[in-house]
Amino acid sequence: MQAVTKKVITVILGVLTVSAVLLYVFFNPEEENLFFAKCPIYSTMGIHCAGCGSQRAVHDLLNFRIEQAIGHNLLLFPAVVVIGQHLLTAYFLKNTKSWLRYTKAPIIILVVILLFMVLRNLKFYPFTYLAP
Amino acid sequence: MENNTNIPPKPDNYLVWAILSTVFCCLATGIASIIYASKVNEAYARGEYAEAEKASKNAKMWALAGAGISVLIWIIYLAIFGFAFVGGIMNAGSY
Repeated sequence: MQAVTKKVITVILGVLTVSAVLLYVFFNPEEENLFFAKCPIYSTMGIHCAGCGSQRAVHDLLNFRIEQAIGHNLLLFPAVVVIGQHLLTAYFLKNTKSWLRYTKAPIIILVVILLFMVLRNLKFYPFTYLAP
Repeated sequence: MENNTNIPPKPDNYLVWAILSTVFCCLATGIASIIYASKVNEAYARGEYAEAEKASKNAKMWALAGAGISVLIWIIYLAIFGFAFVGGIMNAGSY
């Protein structure tokens, strides 16, 4: 019974992931009249959070525009690389250590995210480049 | 320390999910999840395995909360957008 539930959940997640990828490949979230939800933090407080611009950055990455992706969200591309490395070590390179398995990894990620969030809200050069 | 066989495996810290949740949805739940992830590591390194297990459960809970909130936001958003869309079509039809 539990195995069946797990399979159903896996299939649902798989379908959702594939449709999300297709959605972000073909539609540009930057176009105002489309139906992409805006960041709730930016909509309510006017602050660029660490994730702001990630939908646009995903669209850029899926269309192989790394430079634009970095412009929309500096951390998304590194995040994809880090998670990609983690998945590789989990399924293929079993003798390699995932970067995420280091003891200090969470605290480093936390500092980077918070620092990024503060810096990208500064309204003067060169930090304006960090805004989405 | 002399009895190595008693060391349980390290509990999952759900760091990947914490990162995904921070990037794509909810800063607050994501950061909570990352903090608990680091607590898992620290407690495990100190040898406090029960503590690490507890932090792992919290990390999982916050990661799931982030996923849940993002799904909720999308449902609400699509509901509103869906109504506006259908309304637009019906309006267009009445002209």
